Amino acid sequence: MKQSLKVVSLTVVALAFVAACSSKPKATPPPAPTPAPVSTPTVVTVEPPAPTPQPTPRVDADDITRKSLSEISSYLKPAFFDYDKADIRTDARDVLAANAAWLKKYAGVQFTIEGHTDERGTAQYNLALGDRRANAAKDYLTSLGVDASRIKTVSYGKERPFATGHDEDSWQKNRRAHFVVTAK
Amino acid sequence: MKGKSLKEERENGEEKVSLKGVRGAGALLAAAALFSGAPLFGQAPKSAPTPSGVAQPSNIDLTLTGATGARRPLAIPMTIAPISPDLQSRGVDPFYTTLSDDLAGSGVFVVADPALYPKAMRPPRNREEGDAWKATSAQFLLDTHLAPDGGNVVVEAMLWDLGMLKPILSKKYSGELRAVRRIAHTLASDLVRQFTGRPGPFLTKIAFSSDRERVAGKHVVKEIFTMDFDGDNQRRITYSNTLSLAPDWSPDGTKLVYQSYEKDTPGLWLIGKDGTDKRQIPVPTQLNASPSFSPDGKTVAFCGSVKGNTEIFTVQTDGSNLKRLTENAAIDSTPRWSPNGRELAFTSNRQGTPQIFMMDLEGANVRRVSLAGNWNDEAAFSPDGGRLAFACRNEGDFQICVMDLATGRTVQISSGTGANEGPTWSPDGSKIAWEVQRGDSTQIVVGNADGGGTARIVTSSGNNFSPSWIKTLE
Repeated sequence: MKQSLKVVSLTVVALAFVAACSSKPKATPPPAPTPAPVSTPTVVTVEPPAPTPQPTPRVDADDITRKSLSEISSYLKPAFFDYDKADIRTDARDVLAANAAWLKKYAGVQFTIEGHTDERGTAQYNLALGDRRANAAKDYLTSLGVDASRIKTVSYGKERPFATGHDEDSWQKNRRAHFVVTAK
Repeated sequence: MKGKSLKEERENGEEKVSLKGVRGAGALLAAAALFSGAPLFGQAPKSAPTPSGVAQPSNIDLTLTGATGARRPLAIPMTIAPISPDLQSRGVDPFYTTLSDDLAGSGVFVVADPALYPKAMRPPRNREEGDAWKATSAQFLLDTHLAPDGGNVVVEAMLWDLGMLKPILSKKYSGELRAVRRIAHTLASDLVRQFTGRPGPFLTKIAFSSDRERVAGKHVVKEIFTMDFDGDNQRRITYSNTLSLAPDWSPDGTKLVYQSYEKDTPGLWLIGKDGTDKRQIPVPTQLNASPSFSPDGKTVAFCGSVKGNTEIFTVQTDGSNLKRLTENAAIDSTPRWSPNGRELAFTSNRQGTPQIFMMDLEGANVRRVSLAGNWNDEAAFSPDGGRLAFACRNEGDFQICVMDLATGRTVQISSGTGANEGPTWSPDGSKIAWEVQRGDSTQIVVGNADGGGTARIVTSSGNNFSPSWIKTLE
C-alpha cells in the first residue's frame, strides 16, 4: 500500500516537474490535474538526475506552496480534551504526534494554537482553561521537537464555539486545541 | 387611562414602543416573552446547591429567604395630565411605567394592585377617602401630575401617608419631554431616599459586552455597550471588530477597563464612557482577562498567563508596577477587588474544582471562601464589602449565590433552568445584575440582592454578557 502511494506521488512530482520546466508560455491553461495516474509504467522511468546528487525534491502529495493557509491548517488536526481538563489525552497524543511529524517536514510553517472550551464553565474561567489547553498542546509539540518559536497560543474560552449545540456531542467538539497556520 | 390595570398600561407601552421601533420597556417585555414557559427568577424559596465532596460547615444556611420585611405598601394611581394623545404616549405613559417599575423593584415598596384603586379621591380629603385608599392595602399614596410648560414638562409629586392623612414628601421636577423617564427615575430615587436615607439606583448605568453586531458567517464579534440600569438608552462604546469582553467601570464612572483581542492577541484596554480616549495598558503577559479596577482607580487586577500558567496580576493603569500575586500550578482567574482595596477575591481550581479564594495585595493570607458546591466562580463584592455574589453550581445550572462574609450564610437569588453567571452589584447594594443563558439566548437580568421580587430581563438585541454596574450612585 505504501509502495503504491509513493508511486502516485512520484507521478505527480514528475508531471509537476515537466510542467515547471516547460519554458514556452502556453496559450491554453494546463490541463487540470488528472485524478489518478493512468500510465503507471512511465513512473518507472523517473530517476533522480545522476550528476547532481542534491537533495531530492520532497516526495509528498502536499505541495503546500500552492495551497491556502486555511487548507494547510486543515492538515493539522485538533486535539480534544476532557471536561475542565487541560491534560493531553491518549487520542490527542496520536493527533499531536502526527501534527508534529508534519510540522517538522515543513519547517517554514508558523502557526497559532487556539484553546477552546465548551460552554458549561463561566466565561472568565474558560478563558484561563482555554489558555491552559493551548499551552498544553504547545508543550507537547515542543517535547516532540517542534521549535517553540514557530508557535503562538491564544485562548478563546467559550467565545468562538465550533459547534453550537447544547449537548455532549457539541461540547466535546468545542473542548479543543485548534491549529491555524499563519505562514508557510 | 384611569382605572386600567398596570398590566394593561404595560401592554399599551409595548404597543407604542414596538410601533416606533424604540428600545425600552417594550423591548423588556418582548425579551421576557422569549423566555416564557420557563419559570422566572427569585419567586419561590428554592434550595441552593448542596455540597458535594466538601464537608458542609453548620453555619451555612442554603435556603432562599426571599423578600425582607418592612416593604411599604404604596398606591401609584395613573399620573394626571391634560388630555392629549401625544402627551399621553410620549410623556405620561413612559413616565408612569418607569416610575411604577422602579418603585415596584426597589425593595422598599410593594405596589398595591391598581385594579383596586378608587376613582378620583386624590389627594384624599377626609378619613373616608383615606380609608378607601387603605382598602387597597396601601399605606402610602403617590399622587403625580404632569403638565406641559413651554417646551418642557413639569412633574409634581406628593407622597401621602394614609394613616396620618397628610403629605410627607412634595417634589417638583421639570425637563424636556424626552427626559420624562429620567424625571421618573429621579423621583423614584428621591422616594427611596425618603425611607432609606440613600438614593435608589435608578439613575445608574450598566456596561456589558454584546454580540449584536455579529455578521452571519463571520467570527463572533463582541463590543462593549452601556445602558441605563433598566435597559433603556443602550449605547455602543467600542468599535473593535473583534472580541471585546468583561468591562469594569472605573470607581469614578468616567471610564471602563476591558479585555479585547485587538492586535490579534488579547490585551487590557481602557476607554472613556463615551468611547473616547481608548488606549491599551501595556503588559508582557498573555491572556489578560477579567480586569478589575482598584477602588482608588489607579491599579487594575487581571488574569495573566505566563508560560501557560494563569496567575493573578496587578498593574498600574499606565502599565507600570506589574506585580504577580499568585504562584500556583493550578488555574487562578477572575480577580475582583474588595471595596476597602486591601483584598482580592479570585477563582482557583487549586483544590480540585473551581472555587473562590481571597488574598491580600501581597498574595498572602490566601483562604478559601466558597465551601459548598462543585463550581463557584466570578465573585463580586457588595459595595459595603460585607457580601459576596458569585456564580454557584453543584448539579445542574449555574445560579447566583450571595454569601454574607461574616457568617458564611449563603442564599441563592436566581432559580429555574439556564446558566446564571457574572453577577455585579448596584452601587447602593440593593440589586444585582447578571447574565442568564436560556437555550441560544443570553441576556442580562436585574434582580434584588435579597432574592425578593422578580428579576427583569433588560436586554433583547443579540446576546448580552458580563454586566458591570457603575459604582457611583449619582
